[in-house]
Amino acid sequence: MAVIIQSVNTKRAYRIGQLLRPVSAAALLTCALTLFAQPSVHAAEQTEGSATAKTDLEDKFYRQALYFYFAGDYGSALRQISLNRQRQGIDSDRSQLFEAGLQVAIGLHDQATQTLTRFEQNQTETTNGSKAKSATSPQELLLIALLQLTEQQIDQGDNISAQLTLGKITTVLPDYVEQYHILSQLAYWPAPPPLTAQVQQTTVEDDAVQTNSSAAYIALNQALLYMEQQEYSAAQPILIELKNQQWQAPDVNFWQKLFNPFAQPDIFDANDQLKPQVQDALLQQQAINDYAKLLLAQLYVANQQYDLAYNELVDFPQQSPYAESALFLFAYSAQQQQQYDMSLKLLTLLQQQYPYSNLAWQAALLSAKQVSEQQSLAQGLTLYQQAEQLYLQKIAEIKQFGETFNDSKNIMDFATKANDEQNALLTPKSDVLALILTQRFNTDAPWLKKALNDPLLATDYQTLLSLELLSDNIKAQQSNSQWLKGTLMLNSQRQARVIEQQKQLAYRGMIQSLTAQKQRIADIIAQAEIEQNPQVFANPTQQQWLNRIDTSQATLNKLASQRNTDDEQQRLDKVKGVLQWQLQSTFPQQLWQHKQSLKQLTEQLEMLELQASRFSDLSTNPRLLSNFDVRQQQTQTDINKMTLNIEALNLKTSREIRGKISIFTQQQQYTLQQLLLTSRHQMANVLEQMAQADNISSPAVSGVDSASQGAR
Amino acid sequence: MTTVRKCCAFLTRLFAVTAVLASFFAMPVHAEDANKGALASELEDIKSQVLKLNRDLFILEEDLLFPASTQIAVFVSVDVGRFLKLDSVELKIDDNNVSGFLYTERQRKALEQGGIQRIYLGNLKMGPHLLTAIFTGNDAEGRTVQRAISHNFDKTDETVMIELKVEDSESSYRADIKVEQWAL
Repeated sequence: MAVIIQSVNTKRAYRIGQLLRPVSAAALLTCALTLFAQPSVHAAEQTEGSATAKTDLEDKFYRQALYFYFAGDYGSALRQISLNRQRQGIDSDRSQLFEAGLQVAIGLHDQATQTLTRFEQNQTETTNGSKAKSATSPQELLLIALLQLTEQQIDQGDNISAQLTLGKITTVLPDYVEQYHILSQLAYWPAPPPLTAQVQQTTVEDDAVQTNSSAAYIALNQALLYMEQQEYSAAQPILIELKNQQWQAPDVNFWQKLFNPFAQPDIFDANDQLKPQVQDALLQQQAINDYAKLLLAQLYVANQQYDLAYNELVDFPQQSPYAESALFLFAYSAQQQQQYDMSLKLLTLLQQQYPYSNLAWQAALLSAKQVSEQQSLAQGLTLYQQAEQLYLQKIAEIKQFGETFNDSKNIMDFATKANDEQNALLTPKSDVLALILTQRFNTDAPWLKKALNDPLLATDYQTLLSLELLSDNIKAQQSNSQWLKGTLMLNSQRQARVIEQQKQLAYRGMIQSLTAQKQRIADIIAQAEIEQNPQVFANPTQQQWLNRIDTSQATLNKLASQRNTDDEQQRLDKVKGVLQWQLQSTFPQQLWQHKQSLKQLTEQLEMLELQASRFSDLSTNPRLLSNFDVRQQQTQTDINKMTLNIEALNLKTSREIRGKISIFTQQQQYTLQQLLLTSRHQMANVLEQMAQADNISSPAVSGVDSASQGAR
Repeated sequence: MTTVRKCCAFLTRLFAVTAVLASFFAMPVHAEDANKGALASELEDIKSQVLKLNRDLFILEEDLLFPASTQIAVFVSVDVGRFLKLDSVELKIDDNNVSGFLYTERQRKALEQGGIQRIYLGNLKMGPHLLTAIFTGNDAEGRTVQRAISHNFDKTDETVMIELKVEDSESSYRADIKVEQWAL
């Protein structure tokens, strides 16, 4: 019994950790979103109100990351946060918390710890004046960070640090009490958690808080703790309450609802089927009920209350993950209740349903023992012989499996990559996302399936799957890098072509000529201004008139020596005076207009020169594209390095797996050998008893005794 | 009674054997834990490098294809989204179709939850330009509606970022499109 409890407890502790991990990652992200998503919308509204104000880029870029996250593209969300920091220098509190959540989601626990530590330090320093534009108090932000940091530390097996981090929490807000409680239980396991932090009072009734599923985990852990300390009377009422209890989802706000399948209104898909994530959640709830039942039955057996244990397990669900242990316990309880027929049937059922289970192997011996004691020695002997055959067969099988596994070149050949519907639904939308959604390793090989009950081995296989995904990702990036290389090459060629064209067109000379012309015009205008000469700005008609006046004046000058030209001269002066007056009257306006035109021309020429100079710089700067080349080459080097690293880690993990499988096969063989030995001992006992019975019936035949001795 | 006692004794022995076995094989667990930690750490390290590589390539690609001096980016956001369930967006710059996007339910919700989507990234010459956007969706009664907006802007040698905001108007019970050019 101790073994059952121990194994189930180990499984339980692991399971709680497993269950908690995705839940808490989602919780962290949800918290970050809860805290910040709504204010971001308000921030946008505020920005709209003041059009001239500088845009709140932190908010804008953060919300881009949010879009990716809500659209299910976690990888792009994380990349956006990283880009925001690198390009825009945005590293706000909410970004840090969001980044930590995303890092947890994709399994970067070390990085998440670092991010959270950084966040915690920032928050501690700025508790009284947080720079985050959040509707949430800095104390609450700090609490979230500390809780998440604790979880990361527990996940990394660093329980001492987790205890220290929990010790920093002085006040817990009502919404976080259960998370704090569970984390404390895990950090201090198997010791009872001190729970030193004060819970802030709230109007929410305690009963309501206790009915959600987080409270169920706390209670289960507590019951488990009592049972380990053999305080059965304390564990019993908790388990009785848990076994039939239904839990409602914790109270969540609008944002949390989006991630909570119980609270989500559309939990059915188009075909009216429960969505996979909802099914999973319901299964988890059922598992809590089942596990409470199993623990309760164990408790009754430990107290030798076999009738209660029997009644407890009589309606235990067959599909439960704990069905195997429950069946064995049920059969044992039946046996203790002297319901031998029932016990025998149950033990046989256990052997049929779980042929590779240690409990089923033990069941074979139990059946034989029961039959030999309750029915006849001969029948019992037959069952012992069957058990012996079973162990021999299993020993041969496990040897065969060990050899096949050792001989296999690629240990992933044993995998049956099931088409997981859930994964199909969440098909990666970006290459980065492929790093996050890893399918579970599955196999049809029964021995390997059994070996995978070891969480370490299962983790190693998950590592191999992750490496496969990483390798695929690297291949995609390799092709991207090659495309960039090609583009760079084309750009270099284009650049060379443009430079060649530039040389032929001699832009510089043309600009210089234009500048000289502009200068000449500028001089003319300046001169006209100094001399107040309006004729410079005469229009073509006026210029024609001026020319005619000059011609007429020359003619008059010639005629002056021959005859009197006073009258003509007077008329010409009149015309000249009128024209002069016209020119003079428009002179200031003309001067201003020409000056303006000259100014515009100067500006355009400056721009042209600037453009030419920029073009010249670009075309003669060898660093322009070579900088891109260097960056591209660097990524190529990184890709090569990573490919090697992935291969090395793949090899290392494969070696680990082979080692673990080798130990597993030895373990199984050893167990089977021990069971084989026990079965043979029992057979000898039965034979001895048969011989004794024969002796009693015919004392003369004394040779049987010596024969049975020989058999032993 | 004897039978029960014998059975119990047998079971005890059986469990004792299993317990001994379990403890025997549990011995190397600490070494395995250490290995697990090392492997996990290495895996995390590689994963982190792959992410970094992805980011670097992304930046390189953007820098190369969309330099700041010619870059224009157009974003879409939704405030509430009660009066217009967004279905698609079409973008034109100077009467040329440059981008179109058909939304899935999840993407639409992502916008309604406060996300901002970059719908277009491209290159433009310096000078004046005209951006036209046509939003198609369903109103609160499920009828197909369209909203269009035009925006004149000048492309300078700095990146131009324009956000098209679908905003619910409580007074008119309809969604309006507003334009915000980000001041960098």
